[in-house]
Amino acid sequence: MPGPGDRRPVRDDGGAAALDDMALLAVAVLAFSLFFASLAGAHVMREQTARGERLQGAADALLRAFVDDPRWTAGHGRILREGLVGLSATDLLGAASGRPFRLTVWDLATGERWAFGDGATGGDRRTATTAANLVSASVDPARVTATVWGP
Amino acid sequence: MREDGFEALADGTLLLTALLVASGVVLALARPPLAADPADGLRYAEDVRLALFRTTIDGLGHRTAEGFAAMPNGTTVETFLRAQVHLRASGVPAAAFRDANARVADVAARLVRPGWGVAVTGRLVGGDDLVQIPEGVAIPATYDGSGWTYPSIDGSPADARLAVAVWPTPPR
Repeated sequence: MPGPGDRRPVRDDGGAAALDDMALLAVAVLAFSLFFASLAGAHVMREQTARGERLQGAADALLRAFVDDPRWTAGHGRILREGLVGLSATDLLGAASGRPFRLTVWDLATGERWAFGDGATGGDRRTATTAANLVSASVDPARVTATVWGP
Repeated sequence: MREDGFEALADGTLLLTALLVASGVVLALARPPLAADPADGLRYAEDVRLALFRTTIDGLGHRTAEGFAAMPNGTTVETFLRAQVHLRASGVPAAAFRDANARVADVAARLVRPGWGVAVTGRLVGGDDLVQIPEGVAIPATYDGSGWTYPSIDGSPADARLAVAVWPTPPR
């Protein structure tokens, strides 16, 4: 029989069970948090990849349309120098699907450059580049670069 | 800790492990593919070959014992390379074309995207390379290439094969 002033530890089964449950709950919350965070991260990564592929496709399409357009080329990649004189960004809006763009033709023999479109100051962008020729009295090597911006 | 508590902790650890594995799988599946579409590289190599071969360069030719055998101004790189393969096969040394080939190499290097390498080769079909531009370039094991086979320019039975190889540097 404990006398007055005796202090002995007493085990409360209900309290111990609650502590065990708290530990399990904490582990479960942590595990599910990590899992759902990874799900969200995966979704964001997929969306970014898809958006990048769409933009890259748009840049490729603009580039292909430019180097194949019979209004200023004499066949694939043979850009007529005189055809560039009257060309404006408006002529390329359709090929850019209405997105902000910038297309540059660089004559590698003379260093001349033609640029169409103003592009955009912000947002994601993708670039496509290919080799071509500028045709006049001579046939010069040229590099054509198309950049497309998107949200 | 009670016996039930240990069981609960073991269950929790198992749950954590399973969900960590599931998280890893989810993230791994969401990673974008590393390899680009092979058709893009081949199309680019074809564009580079066409652009380079159609380019006209004045003053191409080769050195001879008598001086310099110049080709007409406006000669395309393609015509120059076809003639070079023919002349190399008939015994003209590679050194005779060094200056003109350096000009072709310069055009080719500026034609490709920044960060890409390029090489031009020429040979008789079934033979070894007779022309390599730039001289001594090491073409990596993996590259995108485009080539064309031409009938001989002197009526001999051996056709000539000209090709362009492009690759990102460093090779992926």
